[in-house]
Amino acid sequence: MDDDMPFDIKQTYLKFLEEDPQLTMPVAAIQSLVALLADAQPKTSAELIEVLQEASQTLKDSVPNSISLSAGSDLFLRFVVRNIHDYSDWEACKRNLVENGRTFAERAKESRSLIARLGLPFVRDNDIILVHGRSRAVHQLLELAASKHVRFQVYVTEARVCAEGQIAAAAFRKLGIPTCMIPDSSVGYVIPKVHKVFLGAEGVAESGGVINQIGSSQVVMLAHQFKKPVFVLAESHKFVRLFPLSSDDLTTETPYTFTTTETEEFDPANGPQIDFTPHKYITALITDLGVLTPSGVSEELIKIWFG
Amino acid sequence: MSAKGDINVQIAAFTAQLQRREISGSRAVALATAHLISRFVSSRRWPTADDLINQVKRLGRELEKAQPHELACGNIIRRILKSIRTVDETVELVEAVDDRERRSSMFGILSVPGSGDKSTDHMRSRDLKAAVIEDIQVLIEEIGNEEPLQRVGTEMINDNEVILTPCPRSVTLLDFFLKVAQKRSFTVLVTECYPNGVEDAKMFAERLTKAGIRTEILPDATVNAVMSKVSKVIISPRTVLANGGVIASSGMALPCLAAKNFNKPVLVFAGSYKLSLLYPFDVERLIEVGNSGKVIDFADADLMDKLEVTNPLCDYLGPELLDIIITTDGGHPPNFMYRIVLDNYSTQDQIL
Amino acid sequence: MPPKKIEERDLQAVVLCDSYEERFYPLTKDKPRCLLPLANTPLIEYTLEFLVSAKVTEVYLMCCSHADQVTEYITRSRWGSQSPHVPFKLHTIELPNTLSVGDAMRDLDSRGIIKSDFLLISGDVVCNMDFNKIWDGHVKRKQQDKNCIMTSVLRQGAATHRTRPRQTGLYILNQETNQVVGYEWDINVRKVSLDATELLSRPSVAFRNDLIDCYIDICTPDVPALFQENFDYELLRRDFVNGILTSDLLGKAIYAHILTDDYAARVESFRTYDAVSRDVIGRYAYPLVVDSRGTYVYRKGHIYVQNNVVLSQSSHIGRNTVIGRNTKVGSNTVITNSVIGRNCTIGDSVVLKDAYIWDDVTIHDNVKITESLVGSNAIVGAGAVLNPGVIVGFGHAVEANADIAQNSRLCRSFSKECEVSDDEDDENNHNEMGLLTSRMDDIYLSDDSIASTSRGDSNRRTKKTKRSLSAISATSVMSARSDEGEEDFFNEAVESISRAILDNHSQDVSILELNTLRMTMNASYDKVQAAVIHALVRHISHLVTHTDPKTATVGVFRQFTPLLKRVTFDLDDEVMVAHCIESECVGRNHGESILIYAMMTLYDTDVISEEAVYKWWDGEAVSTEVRKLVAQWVDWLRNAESESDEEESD
Repeated sequence: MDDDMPFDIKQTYLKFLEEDPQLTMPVAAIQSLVALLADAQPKTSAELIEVLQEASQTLKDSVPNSISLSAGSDLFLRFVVRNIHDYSDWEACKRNLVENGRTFAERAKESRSLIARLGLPFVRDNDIILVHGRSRAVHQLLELAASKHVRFQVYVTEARVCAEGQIAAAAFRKLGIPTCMIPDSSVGYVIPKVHKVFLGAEGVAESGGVINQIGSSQVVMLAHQFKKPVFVLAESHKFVRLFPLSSDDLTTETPYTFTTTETEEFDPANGPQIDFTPHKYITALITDLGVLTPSGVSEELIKIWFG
Repeated sequence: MSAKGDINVQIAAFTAQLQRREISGSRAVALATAHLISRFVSSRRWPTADDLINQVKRLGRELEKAQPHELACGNIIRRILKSIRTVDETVELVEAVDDRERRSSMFGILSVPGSGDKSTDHMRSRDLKAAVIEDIQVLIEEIGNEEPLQRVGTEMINDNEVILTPCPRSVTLLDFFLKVAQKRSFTVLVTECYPNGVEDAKMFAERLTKAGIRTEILPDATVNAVMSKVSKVIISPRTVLANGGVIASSGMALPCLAAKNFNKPVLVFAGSYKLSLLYPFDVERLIEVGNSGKVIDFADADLMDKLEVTNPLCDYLGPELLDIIITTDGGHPPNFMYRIVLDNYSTQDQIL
Repeated sequence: MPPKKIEERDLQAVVLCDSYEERFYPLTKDKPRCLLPLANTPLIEYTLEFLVSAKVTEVYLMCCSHADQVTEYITRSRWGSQSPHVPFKLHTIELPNTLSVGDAMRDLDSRGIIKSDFLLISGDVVCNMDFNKIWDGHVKRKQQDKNCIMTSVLRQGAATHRTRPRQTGLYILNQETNQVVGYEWDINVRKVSLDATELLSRPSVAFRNDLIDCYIDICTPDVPALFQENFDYELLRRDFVNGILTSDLLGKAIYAHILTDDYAARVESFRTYDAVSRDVIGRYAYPLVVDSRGTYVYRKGHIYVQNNVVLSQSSHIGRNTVIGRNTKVGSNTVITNSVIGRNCTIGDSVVLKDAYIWDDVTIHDNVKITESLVGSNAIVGAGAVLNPGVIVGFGHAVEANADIAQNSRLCRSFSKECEVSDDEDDENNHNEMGLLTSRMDDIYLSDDSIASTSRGDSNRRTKKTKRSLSAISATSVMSARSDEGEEDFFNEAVESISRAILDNHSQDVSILELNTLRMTMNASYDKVQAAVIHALVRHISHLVTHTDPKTATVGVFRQFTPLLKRVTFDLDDEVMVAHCIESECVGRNHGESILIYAMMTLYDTDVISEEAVYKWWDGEAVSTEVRKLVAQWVDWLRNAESESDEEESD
């Protein structure tokens, strides 16, 4: 980071994301805030918190899809607030945080391998699994399962708009997993044949509902209709204190608009990128805190916010 | 050759009994496990509570392996683990930084390694031992005592009701009906539970009739037909899972589905030893498959050669099929069970 | 019965670990039958599990062949003294010198370990019955009938039930009391004789051939004692049960307990091995199931997989399959209705159907195995095809691309296949689908020779023993006769056979007599042969005085072929017989004619093999005079053989 330039939280955040493709948004946010701590020299604990709150707000405002990011920054703020009084001198606390800045990313990755281990019993021989979109946690779980010689097949949806299905499918095939790529519109066609659905998450709401790449909610609802279990794989630092009731409640940019004239070429990328899946459709969340029912998420949130 | 009183011999004998199903039925298994652990805690040497927890966990693994379908064993072990953790609060702290298996809080990724000082002021093991053994004694009394369960249940039975029960094997229900019969008059319909419960159904009905309760045995197939005149369905499952669903002897799902169809309440009676920390994520593994010879006659050579038979011993009933779960601490809606489970167990012990 | 009473009861069990049969040859050459794995668990484990459920307090394992292996296995297993908890006292008794079940029982009696009524069970029984019910029944019957010495457990089945041994005899039962009134062990017999007065004294009698005889008997201490009194009893059913029922003197009674609910079966042949495996996998013997000890994971369709099994993504595991730990299965391999042991390696595109693969077997690519059994450590080369009924012995390597004919038995010591032809088709009119080696069994069902009990390494079927012919010559026989005890035996045996010839007895009677004599006087088979030959030749030389030697010799030897067959088991015996005949013929009128016709007859009736003839011929001649005529025949035989060899080489 250039010493002459004033610290730019957004640039730092984006830089972290760019440097490490394995890094998730909440962890990048945490790392940015830690970097800020190192840069800014707050004199009192109150000032420290103020600086952090301000930066976190700036960050949220400057990034279009800020839900995932806010999970990380909120968690970090809460952690600082909770522990600042426990430490006899808050300087020590700050120093500790700054020194361990890098290890957070490492431990966030560890979370994923924890999830893979906890999720392994859910992948069973002769399973047919439906995966929507690309998720690092799902990838890691299926990789582990394949390496343990579990025999299963995977349907991967194209996940239009983000169009990451192709990348995911290629990665699965590389692992030797029999993979079938399907367009999003044919989920209803394959769902009766599927045994279970695995999803990643960008954020997990307080209700246990899941914020994820667009298309997730329709896949999950179809699965629910056919009584197929839906498992969401998410690290606990993605739990966020939000209580959306529908996808409309997510603070996202441009919703779809109605027009009567032929506008410029149809571009789905202009629409929303994420949607919300209500908790009642989700069978379980496989997290680094263990396998939780959707209601377990609020338990965990309560533990850190009100415990 | 080890002496007969040796705890290792007792463990080996108990595991063998579990494997051979010489001990069966949740209550019997729960009691036997509790007694075994009581002796285990008092006879084993363990310097700290952590050692004790590890040793008890190891024992739990052994017992679970011996009979994976009998969850009562694991339930009791987990209850005792929880009690050890409560008695010696330092344990929780020490384990908080241990993130090899599972993180204990959302702060997991932030807490700095080594920052949680290993507290040295453990309780002295003798005090801990006394406290834990006392807890186990309380637990044993609780398992044996179904009075609170019956008290809550009695309030839910009215005079002249028709009650259908598809579990003729349950001691809990038998005792309950006999108790209620002293205060109320009602009719019990017992389903036959073919093929595994036919004998039991006869015995169950006989016992009830002797006590002056009007009792009928129904073939399983007629459940839907009689459901309109039934006022309540009462079941006693093998295990209550953390999501409020239950694992019950096969033949119970049908009456519960019929009850749902007719909007009749389904009451679940379960002693607290039946509460499990497990979720039904892998139902197939929780269901035991029994004797095929009960479905078709072994002597029927032609049929045996041509047919393949599976005789599952259990049904899984989701929480949506049940209305109330009555345990030793009172009645709860199925969706609330996860909370009761959290009160009884520590999530760290989910995997032994 | 209240449970307390059961605990107080002291119950002894005697397990016959040895069947004294060779139905599982060549597998039993390396391992005793009770240690052969059924669904990856040694047979003895099933039996011991049953004994635990029966609340037995003391167990005696009577072992004969490979007794050391049984002892070692028990010591290491969870039944051994190192194990923290064994529910009963377990003793292994090694009886290397016994030749039959009868011998074992006699030994048991002389040990004096049996205190009261005991459970006699074979070491290859799979059973889940409630023993207490049967025990109570036995106790009750004993109170009513003081002569009751045995209760046999018989599972109701059907005549063609897959689990029913084809050699189970016909039981004649008093329908009211289930007393066994008669027993006919010979399943090929067309009529059964019954005492009319016996029959009339009972309200109704049932003839049952639908019963599965599982060889679980509750016996009083009289049973071993009766074996002791009757030297000639060898087999439990044929000799003992039959003997007790036909003897008026003893006045003992045997009862049957007909089992209708629980599972009980015995693994007595490859065919029942197949059937019982399928029953266990199909969970008919619950709680004796593959996953009962928690090491296997059960999947829908009766699939059991142990830990650490590597199945390739494209392999297909069909129904009713067991796969042991550490086994690897290659791609595009299809496995159905099969049992695969531990540490096996199965290649790509292999088809296993109704196959039994034991531990540590390597199967290379493109192999096809149907209804066959592959013993431990065997290797099946790429592209080989094992047709139904093939048994591959321990450690044998099947060559690549070999096409192994139906019902072959391959074993390690002989590189050449010891194939067995099957021209007997007597009882295969029932549905044969999936019956592993059903035919194999039927060929060897004859255990009615005097030496049905010949043991261990005398591979009478292989005709390739390595034991050298030593010290067996006519002179040794002669000198042996001078021994006093054996002299007696010789004379008595000769008398017995002569009586049989003159009175036209059935040969069974003389076999029985001979056998009794042999046991009483502790004589060897050499002596039996010598006596038989002596008697026959003596008889012929009487006949020769008024008929021509050819008719006399051929007639007598043909008539006594069955008897001769029962005293000759291997090459040595055959050579021995030839020697005996030769030395008997010396100095008799028409001795040389008798010899040549005797040899020809014996050769024709397959009593003596070609090889034996040469061996005898090349051996020391007793007298060249006598051999005069035979020389031509032997030459002719040799030429004929070389000619046929030449034909083959073309």
